Amino acid sequence: MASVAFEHLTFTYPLAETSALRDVSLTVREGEFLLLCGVSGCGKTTLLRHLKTALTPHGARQGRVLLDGEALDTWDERAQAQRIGFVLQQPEDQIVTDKVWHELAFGLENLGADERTIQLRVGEMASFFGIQTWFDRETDTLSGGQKQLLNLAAVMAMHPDVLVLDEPTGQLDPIAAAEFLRAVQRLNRELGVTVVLSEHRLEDALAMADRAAVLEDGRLVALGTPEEAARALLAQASPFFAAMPAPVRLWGALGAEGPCPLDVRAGRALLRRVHPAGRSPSVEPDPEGAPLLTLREVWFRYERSAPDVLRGLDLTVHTGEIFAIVGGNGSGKSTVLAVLSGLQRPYRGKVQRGSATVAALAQDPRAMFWRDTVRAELEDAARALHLSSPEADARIADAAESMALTALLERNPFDLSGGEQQRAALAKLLIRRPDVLLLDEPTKGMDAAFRASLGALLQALCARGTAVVLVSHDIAFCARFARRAALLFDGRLLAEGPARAFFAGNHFYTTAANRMARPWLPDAILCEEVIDACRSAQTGAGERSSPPR
Amino acid sequence: MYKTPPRNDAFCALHSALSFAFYVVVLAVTMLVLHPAYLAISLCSAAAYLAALDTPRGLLRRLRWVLPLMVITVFFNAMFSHRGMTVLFYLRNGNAVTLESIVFGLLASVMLAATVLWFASLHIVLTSEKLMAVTGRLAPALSLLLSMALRFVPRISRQIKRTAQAQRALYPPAGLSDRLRFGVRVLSVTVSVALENAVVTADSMRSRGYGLPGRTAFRRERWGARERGFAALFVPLAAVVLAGLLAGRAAANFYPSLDFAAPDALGAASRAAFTLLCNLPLLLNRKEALTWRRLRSNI
Repeated sequence: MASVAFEHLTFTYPLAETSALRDVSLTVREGEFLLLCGVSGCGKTTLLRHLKTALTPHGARQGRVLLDGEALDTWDERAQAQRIGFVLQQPEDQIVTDKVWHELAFGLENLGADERTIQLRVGEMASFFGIQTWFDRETDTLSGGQKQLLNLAAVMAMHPDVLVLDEPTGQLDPIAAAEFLRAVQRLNRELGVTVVLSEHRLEDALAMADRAAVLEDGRLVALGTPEEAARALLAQASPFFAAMPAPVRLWGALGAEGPCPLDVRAGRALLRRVHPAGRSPSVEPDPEGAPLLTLREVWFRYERSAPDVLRGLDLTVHTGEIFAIVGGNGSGKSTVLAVLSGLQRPYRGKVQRGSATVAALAQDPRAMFWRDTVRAELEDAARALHLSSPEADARIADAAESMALTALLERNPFDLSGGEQQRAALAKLLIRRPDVLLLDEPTKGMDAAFRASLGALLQALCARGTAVVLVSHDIAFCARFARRAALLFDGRLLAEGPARAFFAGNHFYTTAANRMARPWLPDAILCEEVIDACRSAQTGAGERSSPPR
Repeated sequence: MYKTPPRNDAFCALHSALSFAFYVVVLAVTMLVLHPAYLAISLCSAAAYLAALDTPRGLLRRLRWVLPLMVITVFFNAMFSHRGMTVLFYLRNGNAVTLESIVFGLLASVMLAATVLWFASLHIVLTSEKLMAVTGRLAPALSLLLSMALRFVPRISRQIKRTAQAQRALYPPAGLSDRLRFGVRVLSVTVSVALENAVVTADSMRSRGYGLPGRTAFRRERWGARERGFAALFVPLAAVVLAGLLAGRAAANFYPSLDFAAPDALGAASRAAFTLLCNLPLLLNRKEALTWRRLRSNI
């Protein structure tokens, strides 16, 4: 087992004006589970990549990285390959070979292990991760969660002492993400592997970690147990505190008294002490817009002999609303979007599209680009519509402004961050002035700040009459921004209705805030609502506890 | 893509070197020997094994286009080759149709059919995994390349589909030249995305020590008693077949008149050995089936 340490590490990318890392000193102890967090672009990836010479970026560097107390570059490549395991964010692109068993053996082959050793280690890891049932499969046929688990197992077959994971669950749905993190936790607990994990979705990871480190603009701003880190962020009034799980935010808002609750159960214990007032936020019925797009008893399957994916689905999209569809993996959420966009035709039932134009955003926004600058992309999209040039210019300016791209117009779309790429792709679609926008998992791999800004942009679009239909695993996002929501199950939409009523009525498909506060505030779905109710309960209790004499 | 081999086929479960050697010998004899006895043995065995490996229906499905191919081969050879002494009749343009050219066409068509049928079963038996095990033994670097290519092909075709979908939403192509430009654009976008993804793959490979000296190739197979037993049958049989061929017992001349080597003791032995050799997979399966039946009746 091993420890790693950064000593006063400062790093600047070539041609960059500011340093990506500034004087970072951090020791990860032997067998520790360290969580590294911070907003996108704060330097998490840059820091983690310093833990392996082969992956370290080029640039100006001061300070040292140590493995077991010795400078990392004194360890040869073979030792580093074996002792430090690295799992990256993209499950698909990390896989090298076509067969699961071969992928597991790949690292050991590189190290020149003999057949018996490889056999044993591969078998051991396959059993540990429970992947012996799909040992024979082609890697291409695996789900995203299985792929990432395979990447982890393939690294673990080399018996590393340190496991470095760079946002490994960014592309996974919440259930697969939780399963993946549990596997990491098991490795840490049962095999004593030192774990350094960076994450932006902290709900599961924070409770698992021994210590958390928070980076802000390349600087280490908080380090300690999750509670200590939360207190430090709170003391600095850090904007990153807003990305903490709901129980922690609630605890912070209520004065950070007592132990910090890290999960829903502990959060409930906190609420039990406060006993928030039973005044629930009012459910104002939104005035519904005119129906734009209607599906009536739609049945769909991909092949004649394949099972039905949609079984009598009814759905109406109105002007100016955000409609959220939630549901498990493989429930057919993406199929609903394909039917709405006209890409797939139902074999029974009706699609009433009228004159409404529909535009779908690809899950991978890069698929929508092909020019050198964002401006050229937008101009191209306008040219395809054969608009007059003043009209085209107006639309381009409008789309760029509404997607906050004005400063990025001269950049190459492939150089933008994930969130910016998505906004650029959306802007291309907006040039067509669609009545309905279809989004498939728009918040995948995005941090809290990007999610909030995307939500605000979508709401601004809706205020202008565009309808947005999104399918997502991101319950918190749907609860905050959607006007109506529904659960897709068994090929039908269940419990379709106003978002608040929908999420407040669910037990599992609802926000952490609602799950915590349900006994007292059954209609509260946002963390702020719970906080408000708690504050008013505290002031109310304060008044009651000091009665006039 | 590649069909997974039927798990209960005993020949499929054998070591890759044996399946490889089997097909090399059988295909070489089929393609190089134009003797009716050998070709008949080869065609019948190929059909029988394919029917057992796939289904009789699968065999018929392939015969549906193999048989017309055979007829066409015979027809064209007779029409365009007029050598040979035994003239059967004259065409309207004065060219002769000879017995020799018909027989030659017939044998060529049987060779074609047998080769196609052997390749059909080879496609099921020699999975990508076995192919890789064989190449891994000859050239380890090539084997990894093959594996990566097999991973790349389905991925890139899916990426093309996705890109086309996304681009169609923006620029619905109308007309032929538009469609052409659309295709070029989809391809260029796909390549850019694939190159970006390849950077991650390269990182993942380097971080797992790719490029260190002394790389080994892991194979998931073993050389056990069954392999030894099969080889003990296969090698002598192949030797007898080869001895017959080298001694000219499969010689065949078509022009000016038909002249096939008459079977003597060596020729007969060579043909019998070839029959046995071609049917080794079926015999192996038969033996397994009998073992199963015996085991079951003992319960």
